[in-house]
Amino acid sequence: MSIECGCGRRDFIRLTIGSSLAAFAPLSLALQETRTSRATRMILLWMAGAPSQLETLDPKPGCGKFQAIDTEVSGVRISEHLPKVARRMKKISLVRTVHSKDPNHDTATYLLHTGYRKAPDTSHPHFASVLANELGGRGDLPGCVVIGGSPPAGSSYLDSESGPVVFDKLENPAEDVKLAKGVSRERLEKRWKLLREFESPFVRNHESTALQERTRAYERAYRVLTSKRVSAFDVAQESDAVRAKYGRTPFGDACVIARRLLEADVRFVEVMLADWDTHTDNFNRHEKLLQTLDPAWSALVGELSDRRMLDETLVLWMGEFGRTPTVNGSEGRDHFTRAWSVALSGGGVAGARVVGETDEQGMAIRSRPVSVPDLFATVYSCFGVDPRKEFTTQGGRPIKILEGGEAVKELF
Amino acid sequence: MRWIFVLLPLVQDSNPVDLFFEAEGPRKPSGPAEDAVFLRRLTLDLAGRLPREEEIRAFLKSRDRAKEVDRLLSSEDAATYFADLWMQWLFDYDFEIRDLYAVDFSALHAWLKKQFQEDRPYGEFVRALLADRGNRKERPAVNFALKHVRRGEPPVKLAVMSARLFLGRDIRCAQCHDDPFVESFKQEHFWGYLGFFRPLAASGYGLEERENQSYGGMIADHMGEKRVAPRFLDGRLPEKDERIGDALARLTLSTPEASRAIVERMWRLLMARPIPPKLLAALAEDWEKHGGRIRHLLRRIVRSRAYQLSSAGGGPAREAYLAGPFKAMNLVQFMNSFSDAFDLHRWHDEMFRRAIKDPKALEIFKDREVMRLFFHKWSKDMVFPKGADPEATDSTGTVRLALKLMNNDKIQSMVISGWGTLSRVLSKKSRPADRIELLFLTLLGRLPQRPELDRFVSHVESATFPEKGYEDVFWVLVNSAEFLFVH
Repeated sequence: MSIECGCGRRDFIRLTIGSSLAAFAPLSLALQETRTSRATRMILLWMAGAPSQLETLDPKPGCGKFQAIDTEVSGVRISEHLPKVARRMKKISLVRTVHSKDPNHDTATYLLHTGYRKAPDTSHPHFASVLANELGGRGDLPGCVVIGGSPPAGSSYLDSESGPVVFDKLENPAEDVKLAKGVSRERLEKRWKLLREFESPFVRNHESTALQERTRAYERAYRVLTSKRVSAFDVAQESDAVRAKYGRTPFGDACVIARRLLEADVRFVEVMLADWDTHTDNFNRHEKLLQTLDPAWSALVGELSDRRMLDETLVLWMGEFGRTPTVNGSEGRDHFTRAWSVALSGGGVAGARVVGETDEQGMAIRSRPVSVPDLFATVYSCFGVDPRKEFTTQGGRPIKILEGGEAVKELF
Repeated sequence: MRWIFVLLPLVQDSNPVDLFFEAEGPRKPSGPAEDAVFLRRLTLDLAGRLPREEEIRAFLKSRDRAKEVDRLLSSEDAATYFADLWMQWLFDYDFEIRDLYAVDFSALHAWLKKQFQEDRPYGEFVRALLADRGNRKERPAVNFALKHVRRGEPPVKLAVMSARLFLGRDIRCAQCHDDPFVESFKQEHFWGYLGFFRPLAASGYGLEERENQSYGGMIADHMGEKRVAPRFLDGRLPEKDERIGDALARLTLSTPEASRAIVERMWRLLMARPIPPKLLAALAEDWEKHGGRIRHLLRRIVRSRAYQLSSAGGGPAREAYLAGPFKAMNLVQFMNSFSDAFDLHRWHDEMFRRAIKDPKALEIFKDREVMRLFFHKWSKDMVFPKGADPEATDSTGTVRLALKLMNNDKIQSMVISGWGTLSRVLSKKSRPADRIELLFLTLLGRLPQRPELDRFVSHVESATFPEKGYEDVFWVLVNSAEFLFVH
């Protein structure tokens, strides 16, 4: 069975051409810089596999099976399966017209983590590494932590210290940082001293970047293990009531940990929720995923706000692209890059804004297209990082933090 | 020049590698690698694993490097190691769950192993991977294409992989635009090359050719698909009535890039540095002259003086080939060494036995090669920093790996005197110095130097419980840089 949105292929092409022309229209609405606060830290809720904008933040009546509901911001409607997020909408702003040209998961995931298209000859840093590098580290814990999966980019040409430290499992990410059974802190310290002493001649005798990297990675790991702040990874130190608010799922707990890590001076935490690639059974699978997402996301924004952390914490929700307004023969939605939605809170971003509008079927952008570089320029501008700053790649080529892109001023 | 004397027996057959460096003029290289260090390097490079105690003791007596090279090359471990590497190369270091249905991993692995064991000519190997069609068990080489073709999508990945592996060329740019760096390489060349792969389709349990396949839909549109008749990268065309796979194999193998690509790949694998262009040409020519077999190529490289030098020294000296290769273990070497050190083979066997018995487990997981792929994927995530391309990176040692090896509860539960390597060492020897010596041999492939031995013996003797002291020594050795690097 297939559900049609009543949007023919010819219309589709016409709308696409129209919208790309619109991109050249002068955006003279640029607002005055009125920011009162700057972001100093960030949480990225990464929806791996690409969530459907239609089942989340840009619902279209008649284009699916879910209903739209009102939010606490009048006139802004989102999916019925995000009721708790709807009640936080004054703290959240939406961009409904992000677009790209990359429909492949791996390269699009790279694009949405670096701001750059994947190139055969150059690697680009994870944008969190740029932030950590520009803003500096603050303590024993790493500047960037990723929980629940593998990000597509690392520190690249930046200092490896700014690279993301990955905890691949959503469930119990603290597994590797909690001292192992039978190994007291004293014993670890003794072993460490013995290790350093033993390997120092070998390390001295071999000048190699790879070896330096390895040694720094070990030093960082040791600092994490022996830091007082490592207990930030321990979700069990939170009350049941707090964990319940986040939904008590592995993703919810990871969001609690993300907040705890920021409190322990980590700059950036990415939490991944996977399985959005719904080529089949789109609606049931989205309903299930949204049950996990809704409490965790809304509680995170709520708690950051209650603890007065939201002003300096940017929370970004996004995936690598959107999903087709048409439903395929397997009740699924395929990859769609012409218009999809992301959400931002805090870090100087005003709440309750909606930027960009898609047409009735969600097939094309009606107003205010936002490119991926625009989105990244927005993030960097929240932190006061100049995206035109130049670095030199390992290959000796000059490269800017970001190529093109203008911050979306309507969000501030 | 002491080292020339030591190595002399090896260089009687004028090795193009030695000839090249000799022609460079007078050089002052570092000394040769010590025997034990050389054996560890060689065993990791040819068999993908650490040398065993008996092997080390035997070699330290015989000191016959040439014989050791031949013994390792004809071992089953070497065939398994190179089959493991080719699996990673052919699959671009990754697989998805859908591949487990599309590809017969066991058949492919067995085929790759056989190619190495029989030392089949490389040309035949490439021909099979490019031109074979048919059932995936009967013609295992088709699994390469089956991994990369997808219904409804132009076989871009397959074309990119084929050009990378068999021509040493990166053609990805030209998918969307003319290559800005290679003037003769235009977008139309990419699509012409793709034409050789367009008819390929998975059918049932095999690979077949279909005429006039079209790829509708958004994905093809996005990629700016161009339908161009098959035309090789250098402009040559298939013969009339020639099967398209045969044409591709013929055109590929008749370019000079074909030999150079494999020579360069093996050079990088062993030497971990770019190969000087003149040497590449000379080595490729020598290789072709000797029948284009992989073992000949490997033998040439590891028997060269440049390979046998000590790795100690600075980066610039190493770049100039004045020192021996120094590199982090690749993911297969790491998995094998890690499994040996922690005695994980028993655990792997047990996991596999359970999977086979489990009535609820999917059939695809009852394939031993599938399980090994999962181990290698894990290993890749440990060894390579995020986002690093395993083909292009030389860095290693992630914080994640450090946390796992230093502190992960499951791994630490194997750093105990009652498990694996350590328990065997403790039961085999009783004197502390002998035990430490055996731990060194097993984990680092060498004997401890006097100060090292004294330091560790005193650590063990001062421990409240000696076995805890040995656990610490084991922990230090597996966490050391020396363990993680091929030096």
